[in-house]
Amino acid sequence: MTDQIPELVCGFVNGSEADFAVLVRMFRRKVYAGAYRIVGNHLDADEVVQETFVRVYRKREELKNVKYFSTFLMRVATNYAIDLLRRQKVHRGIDDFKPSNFGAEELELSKKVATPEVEYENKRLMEEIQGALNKLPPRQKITAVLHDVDGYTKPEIAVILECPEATVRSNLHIARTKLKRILKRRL
Amino acid sequence: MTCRKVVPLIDDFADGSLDDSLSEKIQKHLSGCSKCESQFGETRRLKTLLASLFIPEPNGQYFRNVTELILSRVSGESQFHRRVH
Repeated sequence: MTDQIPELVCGFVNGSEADFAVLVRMFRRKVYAGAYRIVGNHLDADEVVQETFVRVYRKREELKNVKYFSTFLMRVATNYAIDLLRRQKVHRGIDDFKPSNFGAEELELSKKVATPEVEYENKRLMEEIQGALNKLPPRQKITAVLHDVDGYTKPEIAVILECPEATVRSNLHIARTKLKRILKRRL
Repeated sequence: MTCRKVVPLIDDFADGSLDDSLSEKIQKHLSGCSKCESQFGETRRLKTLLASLFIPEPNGQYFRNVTELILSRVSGESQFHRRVH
């Protein structure tokens, strides 16, 4: 499927809405997952998904000079998520993290969990990790999420965030230092 | 290697992004330095913890609905944003 991407991108750039639709279907989960980890809730992740694909559609001419569609897409998504976080001035900590963000949806995902006790502990752990991430400034948070959660490399993150690799390394180091302090009892 | 040289490289070592010869030197230092070893262990455990962060699966029809909405927005170039559940 991935070997079709350059052809689909080419079709999309040349005006094929059908190819754009295929690209949306191929990447919608990836964008949603990346967005959710950054913004921490469904409603904002949904906004990021919609705006990302609409913006990519409008910027399609730029794709002529883009090597990897996926990196371009994640750059648009990440930039939108950063703007959203800034607009909302989101610096939520564990204390004011809304439990509604981690309710039934997470439990649905925990189908593999055998017992209610493990399920509860798992849910608390996820809240704690997300809460710790939410305490970081947007760029540090996004760098940590892209690298340590989503598995992007430092050079890839530099492209996504349009910054030098040294900045990525520095933000990652600061983010990890803060996270170690916040999550100390889990480490 | 000394602690002063090893500490700034612990992140990269934990990420596996150093070359073999440097990694070997750091590994050797860690086996004899409890302070650096402990810092490396924390980084490794933090990475494992973050990697376990999962996201909830949205409701059954979400991806289909959001795809339809995106396609209708770009086809009509509507400026309005609607929530999809």
